Amino acid sequence: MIDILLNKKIGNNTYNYKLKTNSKIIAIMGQSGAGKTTFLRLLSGLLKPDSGYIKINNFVMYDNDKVNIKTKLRQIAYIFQHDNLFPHLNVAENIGLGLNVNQVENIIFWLEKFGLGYIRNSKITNLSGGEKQRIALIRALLHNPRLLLLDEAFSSLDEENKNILYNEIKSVLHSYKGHTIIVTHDYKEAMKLADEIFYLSDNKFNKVWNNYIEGEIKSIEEKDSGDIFSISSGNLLLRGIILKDFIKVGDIIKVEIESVKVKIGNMTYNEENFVDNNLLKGIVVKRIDNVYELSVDDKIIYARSDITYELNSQVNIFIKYKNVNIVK
Amino acid sequence: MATVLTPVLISLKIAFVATCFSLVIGTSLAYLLHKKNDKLGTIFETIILLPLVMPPTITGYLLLLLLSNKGILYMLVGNNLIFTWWAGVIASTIVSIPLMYQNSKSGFQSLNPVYKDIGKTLGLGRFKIIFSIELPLILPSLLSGLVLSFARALGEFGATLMVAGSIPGKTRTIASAIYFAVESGDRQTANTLMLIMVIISFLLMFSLNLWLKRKRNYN
Repeated sequence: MIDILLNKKIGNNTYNYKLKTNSKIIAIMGQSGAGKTTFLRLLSGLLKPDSGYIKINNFVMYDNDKVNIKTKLRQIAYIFQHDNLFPHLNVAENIGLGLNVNQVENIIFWLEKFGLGYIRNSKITNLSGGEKQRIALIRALLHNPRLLLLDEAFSSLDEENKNILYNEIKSVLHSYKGHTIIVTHDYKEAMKLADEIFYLSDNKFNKVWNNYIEGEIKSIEEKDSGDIFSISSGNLLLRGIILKDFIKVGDIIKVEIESVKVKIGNMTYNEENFVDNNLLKGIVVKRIDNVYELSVDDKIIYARSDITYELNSQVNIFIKYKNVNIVK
Repeated sequence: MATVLTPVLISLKIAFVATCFSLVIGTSLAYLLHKKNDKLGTIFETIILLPLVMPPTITGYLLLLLLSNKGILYMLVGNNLIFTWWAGVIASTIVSIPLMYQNSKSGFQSLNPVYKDIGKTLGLGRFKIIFSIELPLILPSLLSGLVLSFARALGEFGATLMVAGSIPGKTRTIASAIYFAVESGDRQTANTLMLIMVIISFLLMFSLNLWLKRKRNYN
């Protein structure tokens, strides 16, 4: 789990970061100057926070000056946009720097896994941009990091190279034990790689492409599997399960539905589809990669699907009751 | 034979020791001052670079004042160094420091700060970062400074003559030996020394250029 609360004043800018998530890979987007890189530098210990804490899987790296683990001991790998590799060392030497001698076999294994065995003894200047970033990634993973930070790491690559790389690394990032934080301005990169996407603005990490709907509680039904509430927002009526919130009919609440939990598809009669599921009809308004913007009555709902639907086509939307979460 | 060989050996000895001093002093000053952009830093830097633009006789005269019985250097060392080969070392060090300083400073300035950050995230300590990453990366600049300082120290004449004189077998270097050989009409000694000096200088500069060209292939 990533649990971070950090405060830092740099010149006239004050940065306050609060982030708590279980997701293995998260992406942070945001405008230039929003403080994305500052956030990564604070995490890595290259910049000292004024106050707060950093806990990664219960390992405390920083806690209000009581704990401040040095960068070299934090086990954080940091990959920048450029210049990750030392030009005076060859590929194997670059990867091996800081590793134990007994890791040689691992180096060869990872180079082969990425299909880079043939450049083991090459000079850095002879490598392409994609090869350089792969080498940096191999080196980072061999250090078994608690946290892997990618700061616009793939921005300088062309589209074709990026797509190949995304497919190669997604499973790798999922299989190692640590978390990954990707800072990017490329929404496609964020969607392809991350489990959760945040947009940093005004010192707040807002989840991207999640649905937030505000409405009034119309009814509450008692059920063995959990009480079910109905919320009405304009013409939209949604049902959700009450977990630990104390709500009553008439309350105005806000619910969150993650776009990945919104399923879309053609209507087929299937009992499964009607059990504990909100069934809605929507029209495809916009598609950005695998994110669909759907118009449902007077609302916009974001959903993710790998199946292609034409613009303006009508689709069925399924949202499980348990995925309608009360946030306020 | 001794009239040729002895000045060559004395010159090489003085130049070698002076270059060692220049390396330590010039590189340390460059490391301390390369990030300073304030007035004080600029004043220091100007003082360090002054011997580059001043006539060597002025540098020599200043050193003479400092090394004399009432000078600061005399008080510090406690011995009169004037007209010893150590005086030649001091003079050569002073005139070669600016070259070492300038070269190492540009080396430090060209060092990408990201490398230090990456080194830290790879778990490397301060010394490992300096010796495995930073020093190898600025090696071309350091070596340039070293060779130029050595060449400058080897060819030093004016300031050395002022403080070390030209005592045969003690402080007579190639440069002063050529001067006195020409003055006394000993053309053969002058020609031989000139040839030796040209060969040494050519070999030094040629090897440096060759090495730098090979080394810069990775940039």
